[in-house]
Amino acid sequence: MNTFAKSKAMGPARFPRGSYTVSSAGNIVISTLPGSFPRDRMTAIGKVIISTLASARVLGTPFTELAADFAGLEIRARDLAGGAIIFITPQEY
Amino acid sequence: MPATAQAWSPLEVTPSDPAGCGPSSPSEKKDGAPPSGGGLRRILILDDDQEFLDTYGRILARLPSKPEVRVATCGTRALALLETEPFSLLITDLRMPKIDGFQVLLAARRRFPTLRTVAITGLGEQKYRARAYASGIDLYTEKPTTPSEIRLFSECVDALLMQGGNDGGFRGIQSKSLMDLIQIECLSQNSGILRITRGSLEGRVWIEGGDVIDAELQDLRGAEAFKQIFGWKTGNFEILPGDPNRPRTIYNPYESLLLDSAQTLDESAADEGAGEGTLEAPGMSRVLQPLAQVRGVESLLLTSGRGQCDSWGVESPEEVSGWTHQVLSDFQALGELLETGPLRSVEAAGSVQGMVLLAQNGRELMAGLDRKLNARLIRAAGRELATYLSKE
Repeated sequence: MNTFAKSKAMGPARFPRGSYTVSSAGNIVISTLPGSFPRDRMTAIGKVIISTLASARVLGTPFTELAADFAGLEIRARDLAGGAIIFITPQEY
Repeated sequence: MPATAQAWSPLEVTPSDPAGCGPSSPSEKKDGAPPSGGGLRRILILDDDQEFLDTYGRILARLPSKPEVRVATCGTRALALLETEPFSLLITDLRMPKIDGFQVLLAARRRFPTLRTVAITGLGEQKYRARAYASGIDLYTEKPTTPSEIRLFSECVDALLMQGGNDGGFRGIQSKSLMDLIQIECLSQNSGILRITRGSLEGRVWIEGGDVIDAELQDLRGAEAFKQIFGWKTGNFEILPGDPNRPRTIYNPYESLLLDSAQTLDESAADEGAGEGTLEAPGMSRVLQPLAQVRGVESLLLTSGRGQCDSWGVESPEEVSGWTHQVLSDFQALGELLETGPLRSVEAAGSVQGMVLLAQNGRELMAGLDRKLNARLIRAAGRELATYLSKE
């Protein structure tokens, strides 16, 4: 069974809990997320995080921590000298 | 008579307990706590050097007068804070990018005539001294670096705070009214020009041999100008050399002139009393005002779908607006890709400031937050802001 396949009956997809690090180029370095979580999604998250941290530095407001609060998922990231460690946490209701 | 510029010297006043002002003392954590009473003294420190702000924020928070210390890293932010919170003292660096300290001092003096001001500079910048004093500051000093300099600086700041700024009186002779000043000059049968400034207004009263002979305030001349000037409760003054060739427009004895003008003073006091009410920030749009009350909020930028942009305390609104839109768009696209459900907020903590980004009903909000807020408090601020935004 694909855990992350969209279920029209159940609404938003369910997400695993875990973390991974990305380099400043957005490459995945190490991950504790289950292997079934699509790598392209991890990369997509990493790219948005890295670009946001970089643009904030250009704006003059460097961030040490960044979080995106979605209805079904929280993405939290910490700056790691240009790269980032990213925490994925499904929202609990 | 030589020109006599009156300057109040904070060095003449010694705080009762300067002991706790050392540089190593940690600060009491404030975290945007609201003022707790009428006696609370607030200091605003403006400097583009975050390290300086951290250090002196801690030092000044431990002064005997127990002030609440707020900091700002840019002039725009400082002016925004001054507009929304009552401050006793502004301490500002003079050399900063974009809006420099002189601009902030001039704006602050114009808008808040009773605010005490201190200008601080780096080493070798004494050339700014005259210009700074001309802008009406209370104290000009180099940034203290040694323990003894820091202690002296702390004592000066505490003395300024203890002196207060809202008790009326003209700078130069504290607690003296304009009536006192004029009586002193007239009884001494002096000749001179009393130059009085209040914010951007400047009035002059000509005294010749102990008689008030003329007055001028903008387009007004004579007794009318004198009455208007006399209505001022606070301001700065200096006595300039007399002008024996000044045409006389006032012929009443100074005593009756003062009595007539006292009526104007009473009317002025009544008007001010009637105007008292809630503090409303003049530089902030109505829609932003409830958002600015949320704990920790230091700056705001709200853009509507029609391209309208309201901001408060944001130095480069266009740049920040574009950045906010880009970040929110990126995360919304990410949410669609991941099927996470709607994006509720983007939150950030940083060494300069915290931040919350929200998108609701075609509007985008950026709220700059006190950098001391932790993740939990940033989340709470975001939720509160979202609630306010949904009510609009």
